[in-house]
Formats: sequence, C-alpha cells, structure tokens
Amino acid sequence: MKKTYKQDFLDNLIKVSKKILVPPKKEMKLEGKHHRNDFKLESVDREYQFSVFLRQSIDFAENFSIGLIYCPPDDETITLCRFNGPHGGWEDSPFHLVPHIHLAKQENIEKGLTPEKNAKKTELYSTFEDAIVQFMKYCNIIGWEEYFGKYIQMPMDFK
Amino acid sequence: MDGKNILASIFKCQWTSSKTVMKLINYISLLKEQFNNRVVLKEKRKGIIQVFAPLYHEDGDMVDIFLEETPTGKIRISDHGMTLMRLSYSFDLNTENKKKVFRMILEQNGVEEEKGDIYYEVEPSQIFSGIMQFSQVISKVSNIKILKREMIKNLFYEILDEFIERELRKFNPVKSFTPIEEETYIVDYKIEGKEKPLYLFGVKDSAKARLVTIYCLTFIQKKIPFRSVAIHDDFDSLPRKDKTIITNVVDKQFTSLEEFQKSGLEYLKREAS
Repeated sequence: MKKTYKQDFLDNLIKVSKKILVPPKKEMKLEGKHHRNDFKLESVDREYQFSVFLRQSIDFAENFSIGLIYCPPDDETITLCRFNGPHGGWEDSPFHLVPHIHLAKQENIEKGLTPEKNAKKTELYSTFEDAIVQFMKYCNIIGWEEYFGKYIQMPMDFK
Repeated sequence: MDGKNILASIFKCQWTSSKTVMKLINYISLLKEQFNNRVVLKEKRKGIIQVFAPLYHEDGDMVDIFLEETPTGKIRISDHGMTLMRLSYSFDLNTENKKKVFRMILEQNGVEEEKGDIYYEVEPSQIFSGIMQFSQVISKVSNIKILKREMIKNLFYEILDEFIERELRKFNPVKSFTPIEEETYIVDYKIEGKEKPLYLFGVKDSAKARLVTIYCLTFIQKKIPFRSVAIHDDFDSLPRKDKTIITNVVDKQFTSLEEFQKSGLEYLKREAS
C-alpha cells in the first residue's frame, strides 16, 4: 500500500452516494463451498470506483461476508467495510462470535496492516439476508432494491 | 444430568452418540493437553467440531479449522471451504497460473483440496502438529495474492515463452526483437506476417500494458509497418483506463493465456507467412 488515506476520506468513501455500474447476477452463484455474487459501483460524481462482494458458505449459513472495496486507479484496492456473520473468535476478539462489521482504519494502512483488520459487534443484522439490506443502506447504494428487494422485511407492527 | 451431558458441558459441546462421545473425548483431551489447555472446541454441526484457537488471518478474523472423524479412524482437519471463500473477496483463482501456484502450495505441504474444501488427515496422536501445519498452509493460501506478484508474474511469461517456442516454432519466432535503434523498445516476439510483421507482447499487468501502448505508438510514429498482438494474463483484471488505452492501440488481443493457447495457432496460420 503506497498511499496513505485520512480517516475522513475513508469514512466518506463508505457514505458517498453510489450508483450501480455493473449489476449483480440475479442469483448467487455456487463456487466450491460457497455462494457468491459481485457487482461494481461508482460514486454519483463518477470520481470513485468500487466493487461489492457477497459470499455465504454452503455448509454454514451463518458464515457470510459482504464487503465494499474501493478501487483507486493507481493504487491497491482497499476493503472499506465488511459485514460478517458470526464465525468464531477468541478471548481477545469475542465480537467474532456474533455478527460484526470490519471497517478500514487510517492507522492500519499507515502501519502496513490489513486496512479493515479491526471489527466491532453489531446488532444491525442477524442473517445474511438482513445483512444485505443493511449493507446497501449503510453504503448508500442507489437502486439496490431492484436486485435485492426480495430481502426487504416489512416491519411487523400490530398497532 | 447424565454422563454424556456432563462431559458435554465440560468440553462445551453437544454430542450425538455415546460411541462418538468416547472417541471424540479422547481426541479432545489429547488436543487440549497438546495445546496446553488453550483451545476451545465446539460442535458446529452434527459430527463437525470447530477449533477455537488464537490463530488469525491478517484481516483479523480467526482461522476456520474444523475436525471430523474419517471412516478409517483418522482426524480430518479442514476449513469447509472458508479459506477460498475469504480469498475470493478480492482475488480469484481464475487463471491456470494462479491455480498452479495454489496447487503447488498444497502439494508442497501435503495438504489436499476437494471442491473448495482444503483438508489434511492425521492420526489422532498428531492433531496438534496437524493443526499447526494446516494453519500455516491456510495462511499461505490466504496470502497467495502476495505470492502471486512474485511467482505468477514470472510464471506467466515463462509459460508464454514455453508455449511460443514449443507450439509456434514453425513460425520462426524471434525473441526480444528491437525494431528501432533504441534497445529499450523491445518486442517480446516477432513473427513474419503475410502482409506485415507480427509483434507479439505478453501483458501481465498495468505497467506492461502501458509500456506496450507506448512501444506501439512509437513504432506507428516512426512509420514502422507491423501488426501488434497482445496476449494478456488476465485482461479483466486491468484497470478500466488501461484496458481502454491498449484496446485503442493494439491490433489484436487475446484476453488470457489460455485463450491464446487455444486459438493462437489458428490465428497465426491465417496471419503469418
């Protein structure tokens, strides 16, 4: 990683409005022991390019990951955020035992570490399908409903 | 609480049969002892034990290690496809070169792969060393992207060279041809064409794509007659700008080495003299 990126810049890349450039496949594709889907995005001002990956293990439905990758033209890609399911942790990383989100940090890039090494537990989602909806909103992706609208759950309100 | 459940609560897992209980308890005792009691095991699914140990990927996630008993009484240490799933976030094993490096890592470490599942079978007495060995292999596979930069770059040009010199020898390819006096403008292979000489370039990455573009534009400017042919390692992996620029300059492109190996001979039969 040659360049360094300010935290504000990284956070803004996640939040900037994005439109879908190359759409996802209609269905997840089986590859080995996981299902996958991918699509490409760019910011609405066309300044930044991104890709998104969706992966889910076929053996363990709770093992999934949905990530936003920043693709600069002249540097290595950076995973800005990863929405993970619970997949197992240790004493010093118990958040891996529950749904958790990895976010890219400036300090990690400066130290030459994987940018999104750190993570925090989240209550935004519990299943892969929930995570898809929350991820699309979190990353401000315009038009995601056309491809992933089937995962939207209407609130159950009996009032 | 019966004996099975007491043991289950001690070892923090649930069991499915008494026979399995006794066998796995032995294995778990061995493993915990060998790990100096710093490992936790949980039954992820019926008959599949997940190992929780302080072994991490670079991205901060714990290495996925599962244990299952084989019909022959060995212990199968596997990742249930999690390593290749993780790798696919930003890297695809979508060329023969990359698959070759992947297979090399597994073979050199005595580890196998089946339908995306990386595994290693050991005797129960070797669970600890097996897990250590396995986790190292997982780490190497997970970092194949780094290995790739060194190994694949050389492998691509090596394989391309081998193919041209073995399969296209009858076209008398001239290696490292310099059409103009400046020796820095090097054509990987020149083959005499029916109308104009064919200049073949292997293109591994952005840097080479840009070099090829500069070379071709220079040759055009100097009015050198030629037809340019680019053979990519992975055209899709080039940034969009580089794809656009090289496409606008080069006369013919093969988007992958595999494609060139499949249809390059037919192309040269039509174009070469």
